Amino acid sequence: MVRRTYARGFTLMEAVVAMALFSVLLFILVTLTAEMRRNEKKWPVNFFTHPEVGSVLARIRHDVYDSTSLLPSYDTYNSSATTLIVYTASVDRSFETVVWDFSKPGEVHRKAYRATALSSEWVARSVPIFICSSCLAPETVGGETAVRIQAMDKEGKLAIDEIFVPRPHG
Amino acid sequence: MRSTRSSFRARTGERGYVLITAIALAILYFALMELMLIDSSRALREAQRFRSKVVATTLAESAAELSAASMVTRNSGNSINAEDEQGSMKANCKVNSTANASEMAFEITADATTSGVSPVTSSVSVQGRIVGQKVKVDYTYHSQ
Repeated sequence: MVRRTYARGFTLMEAVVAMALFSVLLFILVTLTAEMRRNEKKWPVNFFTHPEVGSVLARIRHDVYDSTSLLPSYDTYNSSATTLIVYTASVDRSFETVVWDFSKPGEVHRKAYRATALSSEWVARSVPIFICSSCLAPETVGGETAVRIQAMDKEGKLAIDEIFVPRPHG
Repeated sequence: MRSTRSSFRARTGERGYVLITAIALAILYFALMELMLIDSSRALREAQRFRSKVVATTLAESAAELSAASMVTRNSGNSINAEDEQGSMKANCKVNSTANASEMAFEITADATTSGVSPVTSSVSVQGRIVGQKVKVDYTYHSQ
């Protein structure tokens, strides 16, 4: 009977090849992960990761498009970089005064008033810092008064810059 | 061989720890990848919905503009009904005389529906007056 003896463990070459293959795999994983991270941070605001930002813009757009006037003040609010006040048509075609309050960093409040009574309030959280730049220095587009909304991300980088022109005009 | 002695596991008490660690790390990494794929799917749906809303609003406004193209020159609006790969749009513009002979009242209603995986419908209504050659928009009602 022949009894074979095998050398147990690994040879140096086997260990080197295994390490080399594992290093290639690790390199691929690290590269992919870094690429995903870079892509994630590429845009100041990811509208698809934070749908509330898109909701804020959609509601402002709707309110400004249907507004018949931009008010300088209402109740305790005065039009400023952090406050936009519009008199606009609601979904049921009745009119209401809407105050957009950006004064609290990271939050946007939409308050709708009917006959001086608060009829609805909507809040978006974890959003960039919004400002109404046209509320300080009025802007016009084609002779019509426009509303310019800007937003900065946490690093102070301009993330949103949109101009809305109310459709009703004389 | 001295250089490979550490790989000779038969004489050590640490059997398979490296293998178990490698498998655990692999499972964790692929779980992370799976979570990212799930999040990507959600983000893709959000993107499709976002795009559809923008296209629907734009189509509705385009339909309203097209229907109003000749309301000043002919004192009557057009009916628009069109469809392409972005979606379909239709609009109707009515021009009526008013008590004031120098004015004509108009009303435009436009609707649009996007095509694609998440269809969105949008509507626009515009009410106003034509005074001579000038158009005055009194009210607009956007669905979104």
